[in-house]
Amino acid sequence: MKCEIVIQNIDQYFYKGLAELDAETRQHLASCHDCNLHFTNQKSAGDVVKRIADFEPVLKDPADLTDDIMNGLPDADKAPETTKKITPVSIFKSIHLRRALSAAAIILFAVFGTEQYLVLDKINRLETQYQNVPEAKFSRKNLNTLNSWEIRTLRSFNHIKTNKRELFEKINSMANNI
Amino acid sequence: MPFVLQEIIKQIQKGDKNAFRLLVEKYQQTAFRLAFRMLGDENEARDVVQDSFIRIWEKIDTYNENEKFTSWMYRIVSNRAIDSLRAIKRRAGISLEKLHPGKLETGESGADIILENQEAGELIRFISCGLPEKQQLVFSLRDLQEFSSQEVQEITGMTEDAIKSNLYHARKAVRDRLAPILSFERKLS
Repeated sequence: MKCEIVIQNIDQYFYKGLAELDAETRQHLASCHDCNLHFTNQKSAGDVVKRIADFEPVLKDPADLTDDIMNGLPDADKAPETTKKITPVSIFKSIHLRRALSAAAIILFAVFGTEQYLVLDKINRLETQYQNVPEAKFSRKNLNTLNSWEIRTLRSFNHIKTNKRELFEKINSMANNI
Repeated sequence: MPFVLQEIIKQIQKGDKNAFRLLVEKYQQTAFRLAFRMLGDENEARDVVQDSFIRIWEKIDTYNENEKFTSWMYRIVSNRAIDSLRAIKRRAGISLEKLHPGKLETGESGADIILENQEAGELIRFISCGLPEKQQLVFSLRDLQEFSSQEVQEITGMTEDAIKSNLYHARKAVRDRLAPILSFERKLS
């Protein structure tokens, strides 16, 4: 029997916990020094592991460990908590509600503020444009000479010009409401 | 008060800390043995036991009474021990010089040597040094704790084949690590 196979058999015997070595391997071990040394080393290593397994680790001061465990338990009792009453005051005091209201106020302020700015800015720009438009261009007979953008601007401006006071009143009332 | 496990567990599930203290007193030594055999360090094993019992207190509602309590407990302890091993990462720090001379002796001359926690811990850390987590877990449970294959399956949830394979590789690694030292010691003696 070749040494390689004997070594394999020895490893199987120790690592897989086989009941015993076959007769041929045992015969080889009796005559081969190297294989016998491998067997002895493997057996000794197994004995060391067995000694460690037989050792019973000693827990020192078990009462202290028990106390440490008990002191480390979470404070809250495991018994179900009594149901809290929900009142209008408790809802108002809710931190989540207050945060939600704050967020809503900021969003509303941003939206209406931006809108108001855009409207006022547009009026200012139209007023500036109106001042720069020659009087002649307002006459209906000259409308044919204007391009489409100018016509749109003029119509928009004329609308605002006509209803300027009314528009300002609307804007002011919106601002007051905000 | 007689110790009836299922009754004690029911009391604990209702939040009874006195019942939990009884459980701790009963099983902390058992849990410590497993933690020590996995970690090889007394203080770390104590910490693992403490964490494990706190976990047991928190998770007692999820305990299935059809399962063996010790298997459930060992699973928690071994998981905590593996977490601890990951955190420590100090396996490479154990050198041969730290091993007490003669502690590896076997046979008649070594049979009388009484190991103490520290020495046994050094040996455990030395032989399991560098083993992958699963191999170390299976090796600790099977060869050091001497649980049956069935018990190891219950604790780890691994299949029988996976346990056999991990155990084979772990045993080979441990013996390959020990064999040259034993051979050297034999030549000296």
